[in-house]
Order: sequence, then C-alpha cells, then structure tokens
Amino acid sequence: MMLLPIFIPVLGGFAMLFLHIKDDRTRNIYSECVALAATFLTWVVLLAGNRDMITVYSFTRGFAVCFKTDGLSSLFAGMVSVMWPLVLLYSFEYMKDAKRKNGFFAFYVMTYGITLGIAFAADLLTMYVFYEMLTLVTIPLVSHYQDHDGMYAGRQYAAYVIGGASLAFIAVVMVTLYGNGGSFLYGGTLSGVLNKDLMLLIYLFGFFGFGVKAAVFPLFAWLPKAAVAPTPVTALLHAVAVVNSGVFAIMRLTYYSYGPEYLAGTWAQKIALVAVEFTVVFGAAMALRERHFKRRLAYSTVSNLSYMLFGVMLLTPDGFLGGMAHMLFHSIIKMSLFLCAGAFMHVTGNEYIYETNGVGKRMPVTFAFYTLGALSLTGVPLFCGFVSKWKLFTAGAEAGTPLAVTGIVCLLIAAFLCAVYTLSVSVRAFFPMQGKDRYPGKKIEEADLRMLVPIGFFAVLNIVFGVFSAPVMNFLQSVAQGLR
Amino acid sequence: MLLICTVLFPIIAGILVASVKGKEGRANRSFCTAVTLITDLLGMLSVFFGKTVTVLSFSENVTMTFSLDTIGKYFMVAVMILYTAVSFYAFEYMKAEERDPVFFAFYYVSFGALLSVCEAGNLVTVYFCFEMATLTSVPLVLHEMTKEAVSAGLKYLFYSIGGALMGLLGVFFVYFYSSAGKEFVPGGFLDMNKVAGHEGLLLAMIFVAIVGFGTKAGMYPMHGWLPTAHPVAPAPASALLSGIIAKAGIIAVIRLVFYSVGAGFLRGTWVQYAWMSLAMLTIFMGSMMAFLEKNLKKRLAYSTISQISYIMLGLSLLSEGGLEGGLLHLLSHASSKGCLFLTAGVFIYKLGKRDVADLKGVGKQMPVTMWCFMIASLSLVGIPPMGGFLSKWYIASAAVGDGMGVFSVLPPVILLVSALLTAGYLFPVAIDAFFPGKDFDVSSLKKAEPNALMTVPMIALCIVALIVGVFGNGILSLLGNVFTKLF
Repeated sequence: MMLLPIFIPVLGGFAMLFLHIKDDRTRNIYSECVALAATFLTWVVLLAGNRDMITVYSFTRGFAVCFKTDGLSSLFAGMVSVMWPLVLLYSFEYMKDAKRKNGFFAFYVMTYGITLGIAFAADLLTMYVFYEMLTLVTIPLVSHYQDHDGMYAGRQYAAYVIGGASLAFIAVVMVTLYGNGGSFLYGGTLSGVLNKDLMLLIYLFGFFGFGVKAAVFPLFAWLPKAAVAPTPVTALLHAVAVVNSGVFAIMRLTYYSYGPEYLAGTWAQKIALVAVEFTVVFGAAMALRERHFKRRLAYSTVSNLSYMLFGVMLLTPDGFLGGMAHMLFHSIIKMSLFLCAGAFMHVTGNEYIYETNGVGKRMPVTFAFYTLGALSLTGVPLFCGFVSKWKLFTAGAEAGTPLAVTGIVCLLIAAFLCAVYTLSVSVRAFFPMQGKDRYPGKKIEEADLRMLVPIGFFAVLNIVFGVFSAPVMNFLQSVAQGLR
Repeated sequence: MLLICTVLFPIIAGILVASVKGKEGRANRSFCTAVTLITDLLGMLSVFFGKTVTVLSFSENVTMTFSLDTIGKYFMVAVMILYTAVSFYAFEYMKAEERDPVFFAFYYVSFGALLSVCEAGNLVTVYFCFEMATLTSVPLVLHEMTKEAVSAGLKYLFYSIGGALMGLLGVFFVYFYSSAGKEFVPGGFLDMNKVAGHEGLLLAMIFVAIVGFGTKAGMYPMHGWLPTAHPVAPAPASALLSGIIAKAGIIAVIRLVFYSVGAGFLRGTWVQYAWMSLAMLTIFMGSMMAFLEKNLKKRLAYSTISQISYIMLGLSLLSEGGLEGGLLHLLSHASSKGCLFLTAGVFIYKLGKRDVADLKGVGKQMPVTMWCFMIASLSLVGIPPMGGFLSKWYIASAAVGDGMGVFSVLPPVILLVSALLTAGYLFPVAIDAFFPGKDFDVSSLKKAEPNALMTVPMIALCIVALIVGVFGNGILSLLGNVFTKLF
C-alpha cells in the first residue's frame, strides 16, 4: 500500500517524458492530479498507522529494497506531501513562459515520488538507493535554464552530492553488515563487534557524506550556487526536499542505525557538533554578505540546516525533538520566503537585494508575507520559528556540556544576523531612501493569485504552528523518545 | 480581557488612522484625538480593574500573559502621559512633514506596543512586546526617508534586535533554572536547587541580558543608535523615543532583576559591580558628549544616554533607595526630556534652527517655549523643587548608605559632575536665548510663538516634572507595596 504514493509520481512523471504533452493546461492538470493522488495516498498510509515492513525486491544475501512507516517517516512524508501540490500550483504560473516545460514537470513530479521513497525506506540500503536517485532526478531541475551558470551549478551539485553519498556508502555498508542488515530501529542496531574508534570514524564518513546534502561546512558550496535554478526548484528542493533528505538521512544514521547511546560523549559527536555550530554562524554571516536575493536565502538555509543538526547531535530526546521541529518549521518558513522572493523576481525581473527598494508599495501582500516569514526565522514569539528555537535552547541547556552551551550562543548570534539579513529587505521594500525608489511610476502589479495562495497558506501555517504548537510537539516528542 | 483591549485598540485604530483621511490628505485630527482619549480611558480602566489574562500558551512553561501590578501601572501611566501630550503637539508639527497618515498610524500602533510592554506578565511576554515596540517604532524614526533617516532607522532596528536577543539569552536561562510558574514574583523565582553548581553561567547570562535590554536604555556599550536616531527623527518621535520608548529597556531590566532573578542573587556579585560601572561610565560619557555637541537634538540625545543611566545606576544599587530614585527619575526624565525635545522641535518647525549657536535671542521670539525649556532644564540638572533633584538625591544617598567601598563614593561624585556638565550644556542655551548680548540686533526678531497645540503639551510636561519633585514622596508612597514586597 505504501508503495503506491511512491511509485505513482515516479511512473507518472516518467511517463510525461514520453507523452510530450503540448498543451500547458492539460499538462498542469495531469501533474497536479498525480501529485494530489500521491498526497492523498500518503495520508491514507500515515493515518492507517500500519507498522509492517514491505519488501519489494530481494537481492542476495539479505539485501532488500524494503519500506516501513514509522514516526520519523510520517513526519517527513507528511510534510513533503502537503507542500508538493501547493508548490506545483505556484510553479504553473512561474514557469508559464519557460522552455522545455514538459521535461521540467516530468522531473519535478518524479522527485516527489523519490522523496517519499526516502521517507518510507525501512533500511539504510533502500534509503541510500533512493537518495542517489533523488540526486540524479534533480540535476536536470537545477540546470533547467541550461545557461552557463545553470550547467555549472548542475555539475557542481552532482559532483558534491554524489561524492558525498559515496563517502556515506562506506557507512551504509558497515552498518548493513554489522547492524541487523541495516534495518532502522530506534536506539541503533550495532553490535559491539568491531573496533569502536573505527566505527566512529565510519560514522563521520556517513555524517559528512550525507551532510553534503545538509550543507554542513565545508561541503555546502553547491547550495548557494544552485540558487540559479528556477524558484520552484530552489523553494521546494533546496529548502525542503533535498536538504531535508540530508538531515533525515543523518537522523536515521544517528538514531536508528548507530544509536544515540553508542555515540554520546564520543569524539565523533564532538567533531560533528563543532562542524555544525560553525556552520550555523558561518551560513548566517555569508548570508549577510550576499547581495543576490535567492543566494542570501540559500545561505540562510545552510545556517538553519545546522540548527537542526545541532539538535540531532546533542543525542538527547529533546535535541532530536528540537531538530525535527526545526526541520518542519524551517521548511514552512523558508518555503514562504523563497516563494516571495520568486514572486518578486517573476514580477519585476530583478534578482538583487538593492533592486527591492520601494517595491513594497507595489507588492504589499507579497512583502508583508515575507516580513512575517522573516520574523519567524529570527525567532519572534507568535511564530513557529520561536517554538523550535526555544526547544533547541532547552535541549542545549539540559545537555549542559560546554559545546552545548556554545551552541546556544551560536544560535543567538545567528538569530541576530538573520534579523539583519532578512529585515533589511523588508525595510528597503517598504521604506526606501529618498531617490532610491526603483519603481516610482512603473507598472508593477502584485503577484498572481496562483502564487499568492501558496504563499498565504504557508504564512498562515507559520502562525498556526506558532500559536498551537502543542499537538505537533507532542507527536514529535513521542517520536523522539522512540515510542512511535 | 480589559488588558487585551487596551493593547489591541490603539493597534487596530492606528492601522485605521492611515485610511481615515482628513484635510489635505493628512490624518483626521478628530479621529486621532478620539483614539488617544479612548486608549487613555482603556488604560485607566485597566489600571483600576485589569485582571491577569493568559493570551497564548506556547508550551507548558512558556506563555504569553498580561497582568498589571503596581510597577506596571506606574509605567502605564507614564506611557499614557507622554503619548497623549506628544500627540497634540504632533498634530501641529506634522503639518510640515509628508506622509502624515503613515506617521500617525505607527504612532498609535507603537502606543499599543508600549502599553503591552507595561502589561507583560512574564519574561517571554516582555521579550515579545519589547521586539514589537522596536519594530513599530522604527518607522517613526525613519519617517523622513532621507538616506540618513533610513540608515539611522536600520541602526536602531538592528541594535535593538541584537539587544533583545541578548536579553532572550538571559530570559532562557532564568526559565531553565527555575521550577514551575514563571509569573513575576517579587524577589525572584529561581529554583536554587537547580542553580547550584551553575551560578557562574547563570550570572554571566544575566549580565548579558542586562546589557542587552540596556540597549534600549542607551547604556554603554549599546548606546550607539541613540545619537544617530534622534536628529533625523521628527521631533514628536524623538520626544517619544527618549521619553518613554527608551524606558522599555528599564522595565525589562526591572522585571528581570527584581521579579525574576531576585536582587539578593546579584547583590555583591561581579554582575552588580560591572553593571554599576557601565552605568556610571555612561552617565559621565553621555554628559561629556552632550557638552561638546553643537546640534541641539543630538545634544539632547547624548543627554538622554546619560540620564537614563542614572536610572540604571539606581537599579544597580539593588536597594530600596536606589529603586525609589530610579522610578522617580523615570517619570521626571520622561516629562522633562520629552518637553525639551518638543521645544527643540519648535525651533526647527518655526525657525528652521537646529544648532545651539543659532538660538541667540530666541527667548524674545517665543518666551513661553523658552520658559518651558528653562524649567525642564532645571529638572534635568537637578535643582529643587523639580523632579530631577529628588530622584538624584535618593540614588546618591542609597549609594552612600550601602557601604560598598569605592562603589559607595563614586556614584554621588559622578552624579555631581554630570549635574555640572548638564547645567553647562543646557543653561547657556537658555541664557543666550533670553539675553543675546548687546551686539545682537533685537529689533530684527519677529514673534514666532507656536500655537496652543504645541505650547500646552510642553507646559503640561513641565508641570508633571514639577509634580514629581514636589509630590515625589507622595508618589513613592502610592508605590509603597512595591518596596515592601521587594525588600
């Protein structure tokens, strides 16, 4: 049953490569239906709560492609399935004048299915297979415009991520051999057979290998470069699906393969924490320097992914909870921010921060939603960003180690930088300096409804989760404690 | 419920102000007056009848709660006095500015935000309302939208957010080291069992929070935004900023130190001495810079930096006398500095004069205004019977009485030096205005007294400053239960 939501979009998207649908409207309806079907089926699976494992195909020696639903997969699948149909709607408007739309939407839809495959994977090997497939199917999306920048970005993305996955493959092999066939079990599956230091080293291979997708320093460089992709790609893939797969993979490796007790207090944890804390501040600082709107948001993503990994690497249930909460909330926030940036780019044709001077008067709704997202990302109460940040602080303080407390300070520094690099755009948009208003008499209209509705939806979700976070947090807490 | 209405009404009405048009595309003055008066009414009702209300619950421990205790009520009255008086002045002043409705919209929205800071019932609510007060007052600062104004507005925004985040660090650790129930408790609610072994960390975080919240109060080293913001903001905005918005930092520090951590936890620690040192440094530095400054509004801005640190000094003494002096000075400085900024605004509005040197003979052109300037200056310098005298006396005697060695002697000395400098940067202005010297051509001066919309608020604020001085002890006895509970 769980296979349907995975394979329908994959096959449906694949079919589009051969169907060559010429009419935009037909193609849009077809894509949206495939996506909605997958979403519907995903939720049926999640709500059914069936915890059995399904084996699709068995290689020799006990290697199999198998799927299972547990708490963490519910989180990832649930999150992704709600967002995909909405961003698809947004992309119909955004891409309406683009070339080679057929290929674009084909790959876009296939990516959905593959992401669900990562979410539902029951063991490390299956997850790895879909992880690699995700990379392959998103390369054409990154390079979509096929200009020089796009091709370069696509190649760099491919090199980094495939390289990282190869590194992680070492960990995949080791865990599969020595840990119950690599099946995911909360608390880890390793038997104490091998030399611990060796296993820790291999863990770090896995951490940094998967950490490429999660943009951990020093392997983040592909992400800002990939900002040249069309906005629907940057928004969904590079704020939600691809980067969260990296975080998800690290969560699986850490809590369900190795296990927090195995790793707690070790030198591997310390190295990971240092890398992650550095990335938090580094990403935020680079965002401040950056003048290209989407690249600035991309660096912000780099920083925020490491907030999640900070929580994860504290190796406590509260840390895991904070990491998961931030994964969910950051996706909502970053999605709305990227969609706003995209709307700006689509309407005005401009890409740089200094080109937003005065645009707030012409696109007030878009930039009002942008400001809400900015406040949430900084961590102002009433918005969901505050809830996850506070949880991360709590987890850090409870852990109490010097590295944990340093992490809290790093998060606050990054929050300040975040306020500066996001709100400065809001101020420019609504309060341009005299003489610097770029759009005094020009005909700039507010973004189309097909773009505003998804943006508005995410903004509302932002506030809803900011105010009523208890149900979600309780669910995540039971996941973090291994009860689901 | 009443408390929520008191905050929401001016916010919603403020947004509406931008759409209800009056004459010549400006905000409708009658509508604005109504908004001011209704907000004041709601505020007074809250003071007498307001009940605690939990608006939202983020998690079991972290809620957004409004409640009004005596300190909150006192602050609220101060906020209402300032915002009301300045609103009438602004009706006249803003005629010379553009985008009048936008200004008044943010005027009332920030009124609501400031009231919410007074009503905040726990530290997280204080943090949230503090951020809202910053965000809603930034548009007031950058109103003129010149390059300098927007830069100054951004500087204010980022300094304030940085300070608020530093405050959040302290708020978080205070929550972490306490048990259930995070409402304000006089004397603090830290759980000493949890704190044991971690005092060093907690003290450091509290110090960071004091400096962070002190950003709004212009305490060194976070004072940099003040002298940049004031000259470019329209005069009513400057009056509000120095008069009452800066005091949001003070209330946050009071809530943190006296009602969350507890004065006893900090007394005698390095945090207290560092705080006192920073306050004294700021007092001296602010007065010195004011003395050297030529632009009147910038001079007053440096004066604010200095004067608000009088309050910080009083608070840092962690004693009853210090707190009494600090609270009195809050109202006295709010009214006298508010009045001074309004007079500075009159000089700009009527005569286009911004520098101190250009104000020779102005006293002959607008005697009422200059008299207000003179009286407000008396209060700031600390001459009886004005409010500034009583507050400084309390602070100085509290310091001496505490027996802290050199820290007992320094405060009165610094206060005295600062008073001399204050006289030096205020009195000559008034003297030159009234007695420009025999070389000055008095006959070329034309009468330029502003109308009642401007003079009445200035006179009213002077009267408030006088009341603080004459009836200061009465005010303190009204606040009496604050001191009995805390000490």
